[in-house]
Amino acid sequence: MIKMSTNVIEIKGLNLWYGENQALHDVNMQVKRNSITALIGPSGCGKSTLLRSINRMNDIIDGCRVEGDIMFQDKNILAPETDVMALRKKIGMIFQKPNPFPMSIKDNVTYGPRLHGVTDRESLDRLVEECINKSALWSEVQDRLGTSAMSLSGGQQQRLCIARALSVNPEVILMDEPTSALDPIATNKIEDLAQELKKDYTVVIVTHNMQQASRISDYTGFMYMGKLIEFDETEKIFENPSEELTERYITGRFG
Amino acid sequence: MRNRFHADLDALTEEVIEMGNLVCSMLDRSVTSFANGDREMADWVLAHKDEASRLDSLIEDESLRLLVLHQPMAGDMRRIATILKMITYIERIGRYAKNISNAAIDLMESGEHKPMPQISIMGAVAIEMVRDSVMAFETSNVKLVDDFGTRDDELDRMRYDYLRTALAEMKACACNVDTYTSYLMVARYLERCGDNACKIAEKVHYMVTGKRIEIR
Amino acid sequence: MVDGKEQINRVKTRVIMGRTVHEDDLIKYGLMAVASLAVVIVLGIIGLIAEGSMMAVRDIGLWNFLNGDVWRPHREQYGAYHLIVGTLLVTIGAIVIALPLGLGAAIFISELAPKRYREPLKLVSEVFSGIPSVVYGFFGLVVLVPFLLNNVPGATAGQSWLAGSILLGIMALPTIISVAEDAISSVPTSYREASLAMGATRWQTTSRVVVPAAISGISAATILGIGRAMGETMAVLMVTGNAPIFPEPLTNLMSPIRTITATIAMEMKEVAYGTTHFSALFLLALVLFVIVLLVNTISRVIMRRMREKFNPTKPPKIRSERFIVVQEKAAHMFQLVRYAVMMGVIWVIVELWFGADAAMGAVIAVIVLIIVTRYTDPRWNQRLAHGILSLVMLVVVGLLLIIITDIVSNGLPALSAEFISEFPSQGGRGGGIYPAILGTLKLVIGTIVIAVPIGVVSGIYLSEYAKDTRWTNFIRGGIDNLAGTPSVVFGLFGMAAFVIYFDFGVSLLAGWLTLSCLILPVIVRTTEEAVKRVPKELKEASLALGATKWETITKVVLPAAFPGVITGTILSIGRAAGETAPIMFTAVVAYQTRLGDFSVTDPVMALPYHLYFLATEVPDAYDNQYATALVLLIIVLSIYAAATFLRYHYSKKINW
Repeated sequence: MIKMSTNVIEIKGLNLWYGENQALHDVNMQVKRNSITALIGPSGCGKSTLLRSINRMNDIIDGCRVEGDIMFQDKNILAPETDVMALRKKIGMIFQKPNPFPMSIKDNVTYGPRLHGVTDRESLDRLVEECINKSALWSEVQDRLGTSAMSLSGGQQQRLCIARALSVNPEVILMDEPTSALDPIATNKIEDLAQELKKDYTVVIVTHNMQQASRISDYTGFMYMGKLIEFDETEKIFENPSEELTERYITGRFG
Repeated sequence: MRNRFHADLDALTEEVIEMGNLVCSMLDRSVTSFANGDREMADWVLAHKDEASRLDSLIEDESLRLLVLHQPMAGDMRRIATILKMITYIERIGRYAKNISNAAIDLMESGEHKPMPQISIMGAVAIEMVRDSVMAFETSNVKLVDDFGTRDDELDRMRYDYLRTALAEMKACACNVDTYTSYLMVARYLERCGDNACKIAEKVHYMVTGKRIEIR
Repeated sequence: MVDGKEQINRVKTRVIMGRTVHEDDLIKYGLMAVASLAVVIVLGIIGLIAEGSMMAVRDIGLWNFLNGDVWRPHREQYGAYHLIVGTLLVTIGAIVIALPLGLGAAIFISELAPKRYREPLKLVSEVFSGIPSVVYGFFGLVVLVPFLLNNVPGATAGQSWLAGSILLGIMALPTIISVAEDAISSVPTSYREASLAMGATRWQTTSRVVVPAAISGISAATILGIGRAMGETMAVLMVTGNAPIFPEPLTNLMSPIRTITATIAMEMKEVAYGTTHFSALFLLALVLFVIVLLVNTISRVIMRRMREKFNPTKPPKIRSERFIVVQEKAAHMFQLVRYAVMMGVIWVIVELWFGADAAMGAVIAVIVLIIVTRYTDPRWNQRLAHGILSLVMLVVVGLLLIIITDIVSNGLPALSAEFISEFPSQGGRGGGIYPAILGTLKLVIGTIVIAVPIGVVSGIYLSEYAKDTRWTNFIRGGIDNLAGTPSVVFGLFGMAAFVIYFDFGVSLLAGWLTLSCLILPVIVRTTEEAVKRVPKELKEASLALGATKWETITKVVLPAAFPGVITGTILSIGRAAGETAPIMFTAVVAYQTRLGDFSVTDPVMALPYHLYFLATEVPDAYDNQYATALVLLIIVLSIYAAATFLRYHYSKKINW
């Protein structure tokens, strides 16, 4: 049964508190299938917090409280009975600083499938090749899958992390400032990769680099002080935003 | 760095306004010189034509520099896009002013000059349009150019009227041909100034509202 | 203004003997002289031990010594095989107990415990490490041994291999817990996040990512634990039964057994200078030293390979397909071996108490459990795993509580003002321990005065001045190894060098010198490490302002390293106060009814030795034994508490 609704994720009335501080105020947003949605805004505006709410990674932070709905596959993933482990299989995450495990390249990619019970050597090998291929890394590592992932460059490590995220066959890929720690050439490769990935997956990317958002995303959301100020097609946001706050941020008049 | 950029952008805006005002002056004086036979005015316009050119190149270079270095977005981006097109139109208006002045001088030197109040009236409309379009840019107020469609139509009508008058006069006496040919050309120039003012108005509209319009 | 500028620009030189010398160089040579003293001591110890064993090598022959299985010195039979095996067996037993408990506790503390319990739990384990080994031995003798005698079916004596391993295991716990916990909590959070983001449970993350990532630290912990166990003297002396035999059958945990360290300690006092027996003991010490050296070297190699794995400095070697396949097969085999060992251990332990049938049952149950957990919901597995870990933590804390409660509850009633201020009487059964307390104090103060300045200066020299040459690395290696050398070896050395050779006799002076040698390597090492940990940016900032190296050291580096240095020093002092073996034959006497005038050539009483004496040679002294143990415990734990407090206090002030 394939749901072909255009909205993969619908966020309704999301409020979030870290202890006493409210970090997200009544956020409403829809993420469209097979698109790249970018979240921009000044530091501390809540964009990473919003991203991490989508795969419930905020759960590991003490004192974090959430209200509202996040609909994914017809279910509210914030409901207490949600199988968070299974959710994270379908919504993967790439972090700002590349964080491959201190294992071999191959073991990094097979970690996820192994977690969920896959043991057949051949299927694992095939999966490894497929995922590393999809992250445009195969030609660089195909003859050294057994070597440590730590011996790769920063950009390669990040692509390996993407391959690792793909290994559990997600629907959505969340990227939290994936290129801030990388040089321009590596950044370029990751951006091209994101464009490729959106054909089969849906991508939500948090970035503090507006040029990056304008380069690669289809939709952009501008956040400020925990509120989603404006959300629209990227071209509209960067050519002629509706909100004055958005315009001021984009033209660099604050932040 | 952004503050520096905005300061530069403001300075650039000032220069565009300066160029616009200069060209307005040129147009005004050239029309006066043609209508009233004022040699001094015409000479003044010719003396300042290079200034308009200079400003055009200067503003273009500066705009490209800001684009390359600062990759402006939203309102800032629209402003620079508008400026780049505007200066072309303004420069063209400046050239028309020069042409009108030259025509005036030719007529005065050949001794065939006759006062032409109709040119003054037409000139006034065109000058007003140019002035308003520059003012709209300066104040980001599109209300000033709301009625440009109407005014442009009026210019067209006046020119057409003038054409008929001129043709009649030329048929009446072959001695009038030189003079009235000049008058027709000047009318044509003024009508073109109006067109360019409309184009400026369209761009200013985009700059302020983000929407593209066409003034017919 | 001009004056100040001149001051700053004045190059700091002096003219000595007609040559201009820079201040920094002067200091460097001064430090080097002091550090050389430490070097001399290190080399001296190794050299003397080696030299002392030469006679035995000549008379007995190295092969016979190592291979012979009869150790009867009065019949001139010196076969150390059983002693070596005894040491190994007791150590293996200790690790089998300490590793699962220690690792489990470490994982519990760093992964499971709520944040505010982490420090207190770590503190608990550190208290463990402060308890002197003679107190453990005492507890073992008085509580553990009778317990085993009464509860192990078919046991004829409580003093056994098992008793020794249990005690050693408990003693190795703090080392393993602290190093392993450090390693586990140093694993970057980003790994945990990456794992959780893929849908792993916390337990899956801990077991599949965090623990493997910390494996180098955990290995280091294990090996340090092994070193600790191997070098232990007093506890094994008191509870293993000291029969130099091979357990029959190999799995007979209740067999008595004897270690190398116990042998040296026991026979040192009967031996005459210059005899083969005397030399044989030195040879034993040398063998022990070599074994410990081997263990340390292996650990260093493992650590280096692990570090390469994490932060590769060289491009990876591309291995052939076949190699990778072989490597994977080897990893599989290693897994199987680990499981086999685990089964074997479970069998042996259960069989001891409940017989062979129960043992079989237990092994099968465990195998079934392992297979089942492969298929059950990871969340159930997590609950099971967390439950087991909590149990382990409870056991560890419980063990400490049992020991401390026992000593406090039995010692407190016997403690009184008279006890502390009176001399012993009735051979120790009555009276007090005043001279022992005084003696310990004298020993400790003298040791501080000698060892701390030399140690700290040498540590500074090694970390700030010494170049990275083969010679300095050799010295560092020597110091490192000595820091891990069993204390009984120092006792032997002290006896040979200070008591006999320099003819100080059994005296306070000899005790000072011996104890100084004991703690010197540790002080040097902790100083060096504390200084190294000061971020080099600070040093660079100071130098960039024009300060000399020495000014940088005194004004910037030392203040910053101060907490580490002080803590290390205080811990060493605690150790010096609680050690028995080094002073057994160099400084102490068992019984003094009065004190004469102060003289460094007189022997003293000391608390650790007095406890040993009372526990092993004075029956019916129950009250005094416990009271002595309590006093010793209080003194040593206070010193450790002071060190911990200081460290905590300073770590709040300085955050790098």
